[in-house]
Amino acid sequence: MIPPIDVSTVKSFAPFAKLTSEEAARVAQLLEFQTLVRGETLFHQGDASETIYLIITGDMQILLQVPDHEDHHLVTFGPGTIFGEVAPLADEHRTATATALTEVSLASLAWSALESALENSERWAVKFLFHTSQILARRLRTVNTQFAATLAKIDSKSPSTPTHTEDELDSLRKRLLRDWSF
Amino acid sequence: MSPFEQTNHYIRQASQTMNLGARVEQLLLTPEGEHHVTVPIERDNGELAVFTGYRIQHNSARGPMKGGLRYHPAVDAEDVRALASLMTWKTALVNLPFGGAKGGIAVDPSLLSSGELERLTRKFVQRIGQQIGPQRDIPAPDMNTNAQVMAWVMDEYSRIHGFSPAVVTGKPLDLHGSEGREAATGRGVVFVAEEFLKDSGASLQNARIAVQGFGNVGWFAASIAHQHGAKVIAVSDVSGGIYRADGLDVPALEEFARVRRPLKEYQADGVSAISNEDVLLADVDLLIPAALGGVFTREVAFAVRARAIIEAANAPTTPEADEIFAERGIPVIPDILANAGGVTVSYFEWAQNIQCFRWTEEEVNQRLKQTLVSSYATVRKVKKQRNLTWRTAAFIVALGRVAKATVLRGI
Repeated sequence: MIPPIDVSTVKSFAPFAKLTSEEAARVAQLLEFQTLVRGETLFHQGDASETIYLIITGDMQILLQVPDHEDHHLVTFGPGTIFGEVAPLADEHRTATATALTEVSLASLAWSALESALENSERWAVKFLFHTSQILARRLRTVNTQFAATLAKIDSKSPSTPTHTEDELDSLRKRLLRDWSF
Repeated sequence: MSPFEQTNHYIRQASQTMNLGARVEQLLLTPEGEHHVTVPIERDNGELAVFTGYRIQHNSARGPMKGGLRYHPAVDAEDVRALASLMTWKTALVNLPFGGAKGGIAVDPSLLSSGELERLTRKFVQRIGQQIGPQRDIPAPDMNTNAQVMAWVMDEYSRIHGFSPAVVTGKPLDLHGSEGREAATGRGVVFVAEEFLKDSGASLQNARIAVQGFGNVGWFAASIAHQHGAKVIAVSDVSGGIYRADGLDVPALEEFARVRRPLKEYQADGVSAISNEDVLLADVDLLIPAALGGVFTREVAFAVRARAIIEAANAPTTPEADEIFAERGIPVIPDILANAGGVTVSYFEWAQNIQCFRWTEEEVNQRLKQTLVSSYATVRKVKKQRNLTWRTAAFIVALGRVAKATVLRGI
């Protein structure tokens, strides 16, 4: 028997923290409870994406699969986290793989339910969308910073910056002409 | 220590004093190119004979490369490489617009007929014809090669590239050779010796000298020193040495040696026979080693009684002996300065060929003196300023000039 999701569980998720009890109860109706055993994969990179997930207990690991390389560990999500919202937002397939690191209990929200709630201007849906936008904005900023750091690293290693050789030759040239003229 | 390592040892010493750094040092020590060729000839009896020839081009930063061509059974890449490097420093030290190279064929020329020697030389020139040239690399005589061999080199090269007397030096006087070339190395040794003695208020007049080796260089050095009033008290060749406390009769000795008789057979009043090594231990003002390399070992260096050493031969002093001489306060005028007269007049020959002009012997000798006196003064200045040995000072001047040309041209 799947235990129902109560109002306080709904309100423990940041986007829903400030909902009224009625609004939270409405969300609870739309959520479906689900459990995963350790190591179970929730979805694979490339799967169709129609669902958003909310972690109630346990940890989920998000992996990026790179051809001919080991999986790149993107992030680990814990309880209270909402994930899986990127692909349906962009109308894309899953961009990463989600695997349970521990036993996990989570709630899933169908993307179609969110869409119809938005069309009806339900307050919880607007709040949820706004919150998701904030998270995506923060992630974009982190990625930008990392990208700039990577560029700087590549730049300093690049052989197309011959400053060292020029310095060595140039300083030797000056020193020889200054100290060792015969 | 191999000859190449020995030369490199002295270069590193100078490089460290100048603080050039490991990368520049490596660049300056390594030859630019090495050409190993197979030289087949048909013997007079119809047999095929195959020899190995080398032309190793060490450095061209300061100009076309210059260096001798030797025919000797012991010639190998290691040996030629060391001598090529030495040429780079020698031409730089006396400030000729040349780099350094060396070549040779592993062959015992005494086993070849004149015709075989000619065919060997021509085949070798065909093999290295693209590597040498008046503005690229200019060979010269060395051990067991002479003006006739150089004439063949010139002719064979000219056959391929058109008339090119400047492709080789040490040619016969009647074939675009230079006056004064034959005696140049020996004469240069005496010019340098004269300058050195002047420094201590002395002169060649009545200076007591000993010469080991009575080949081209030793012969002319002894003879010209004698003309300047020096007393040659000991000389030797491979057969052994002779000694006379009041000085040998040099003109009589020359007459005797002209027909290539061994020196130990020479007999005259007051002349005693000594061993080849005893010549190195003679009590003299100037000791002139003019034979082989490596004669001053550690043991010999402790026993030397001379006031100073002028290195007419290439690399006669091992690094251990060099340190002992430095500790004992015996000045050693290094080979790259003392025997640079030969390459200097080779340069004059090349310059005359390039200009299609001839100088008199007086002009050649006067310019030779000018070149060596000014090189000596430069080395002396660096030695005194920085309190170095003559050798380190000389290598610093040489290395400095090559390094400057290299960095000014850019890599």
